[in-house]
Amino acid sequence: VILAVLLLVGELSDGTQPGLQASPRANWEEAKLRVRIPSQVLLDAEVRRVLQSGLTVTFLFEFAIPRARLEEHARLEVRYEPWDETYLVSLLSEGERRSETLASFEAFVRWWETLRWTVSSAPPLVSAGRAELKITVSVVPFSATEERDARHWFAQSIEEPRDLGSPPAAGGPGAQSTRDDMLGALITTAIKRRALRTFRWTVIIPDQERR
Amino acid sequence: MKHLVCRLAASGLAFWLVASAPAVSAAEEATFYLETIEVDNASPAIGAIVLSQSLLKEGSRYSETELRDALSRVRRLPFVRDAEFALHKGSSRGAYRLGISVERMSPFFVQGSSNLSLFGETVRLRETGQSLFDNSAAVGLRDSVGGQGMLFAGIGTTGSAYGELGYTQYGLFGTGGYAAADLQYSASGNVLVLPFLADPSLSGWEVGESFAARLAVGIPIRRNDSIRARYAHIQADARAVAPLFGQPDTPAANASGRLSIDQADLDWLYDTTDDALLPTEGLFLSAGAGLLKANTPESFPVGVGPGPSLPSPAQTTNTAFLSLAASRYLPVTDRQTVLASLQSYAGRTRVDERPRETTLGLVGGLGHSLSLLSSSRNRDIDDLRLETFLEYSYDRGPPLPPPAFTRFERLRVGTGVVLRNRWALLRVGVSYTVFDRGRR
Repeated sequence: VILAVLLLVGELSDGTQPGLQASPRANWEEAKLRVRIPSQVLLDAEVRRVLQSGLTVTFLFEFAIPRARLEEHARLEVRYEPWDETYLVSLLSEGERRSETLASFEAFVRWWETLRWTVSSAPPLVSAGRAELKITVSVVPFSATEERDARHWFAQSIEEPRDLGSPPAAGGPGAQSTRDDMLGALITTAIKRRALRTFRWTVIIPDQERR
Repeated sequence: MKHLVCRLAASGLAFWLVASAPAVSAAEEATFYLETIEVDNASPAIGAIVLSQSLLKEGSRYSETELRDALSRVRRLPFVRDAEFALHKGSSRGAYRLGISVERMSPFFVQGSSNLSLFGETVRLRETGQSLFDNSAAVGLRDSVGGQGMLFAGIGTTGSAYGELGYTQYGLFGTGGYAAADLQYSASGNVLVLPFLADPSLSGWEVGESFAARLAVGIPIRRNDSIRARYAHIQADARAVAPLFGQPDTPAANASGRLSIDQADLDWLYDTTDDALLPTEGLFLSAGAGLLKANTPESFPVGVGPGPSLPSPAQTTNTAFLSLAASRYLPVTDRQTVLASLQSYAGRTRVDERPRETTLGLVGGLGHSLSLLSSSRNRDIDDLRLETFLEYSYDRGPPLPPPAFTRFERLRVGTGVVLRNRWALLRVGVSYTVFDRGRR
């Protein structure tokens, strides 16, 4: 209980964000929620410096819709190759891996801007109330490859998302699932390595029906 | 208390299982041929130490995981504030030059701590009561000497003034090993409480002059594993002794002679933590064996009171023990780390000429650390942390007549703030401790 209280206090006090002007945009495309993350993340001085190190830098993406008790993750690994002066990127999202070689930093920025991150499990919005999408991008030095399977191993503890229109049930089975959520959140975030930089945003999910 | 032990052990095991999720090697992990390795922003001596402790060799190929472990080893060096690796083009395609940039701690350092200890019962230490305000402070200098040597000297006070001189030789045998020696001397009085195995009577010894010498040699055997041998000798001139938990009005018994502790141990260590003082991630394991010899002098009661009226004879305790320790630091968010640790020993103890008896001890702890700094770097303060811990310890000693105890348990909870920058390490905290103990 003490640990849970401390973790909660820590999370509540964890509200600082690097001063980025741009903010992500979320919209529905083909019944899927898609998100664009601003490329200003790459222009942050600390991120830019570590990207030039010639060693792998991992961007961990977390998309959470608290009202639906939904949390999805994606990962992008980037390594600058000094000999070719290219950026080797490897994207793991929705269970698929995509690798590319980009000719320059500018090309990497342009490629980043084309990315549409899909929150595939986002349920349709059926009520008038708007839901928030919380986006976290953590920049972690070195590869996070060895964490992948550990994450997958624990992924079973994440329960199915609930409809955005229905509030979480109080008591009964809901009490149990809340405890499971806490455990799941603790475990999946516990595997994360300490980040060099973390960017956080909260965006309102647009109403799907009105589009 | 036993239920608490079981619950703590079960929680620790569950935590351990979660924390030790199987790490899978990266099949497609890139490797790099390091043609040259250069240490930037450092004197030749510091550069040589960093290079030897990284265990990286020019002309070898390394994976990123190996480079990350090497970076952690460099960051654990006590005089390193921060370090980073960067790969650059070598002389031919496929060859790389590794640049290690090092930011040093200041040669001048200050350490201080202030802790309010609250107890569940009256404890007789420097003062008698249910609380004790402990302050300590030290100032010192640390700088490189010769090829790969590091010398440090300091003065401080922990209730009594002391002076300390130490030397560490890195790059031992050309293996990345080290040897460290440390001498400490105090001419003024203090109250010492010996480890339970050395003094099962749980007494506070008022001492005059005291002297401590410590030697350690460490040899790496793989990138995160090493073997360490240590020897420590502590001696002090005893003047008086009083039981920690005795009647407050009982006068202290006079003691005459020298109390001493000699301990030697040999351990295997596995260390992937990211910091020597305030780790935020990684795993530390150790397993080893050792010998502990303790001598306590004869004491004579003074006056008439409810305390012991017979002299307590001098006592020699010899213990051969096996020890295990594990600490896991898990970053749960960018600014929070959870710690679970377990240390244990099992020994065979002979007191004077009595037959050997089995003794054992266990310390389990859970901790939480919250960085009070924002994620953006503050270059004036490296760490400002709120640390909270819960610790339980259990010791079982040999069956001895009173005033010795055969069992000693302690449950301690505390919190405090730690500040560290390039020249200081300061702590302020409060803790609450309850004790339980048993006689034969």
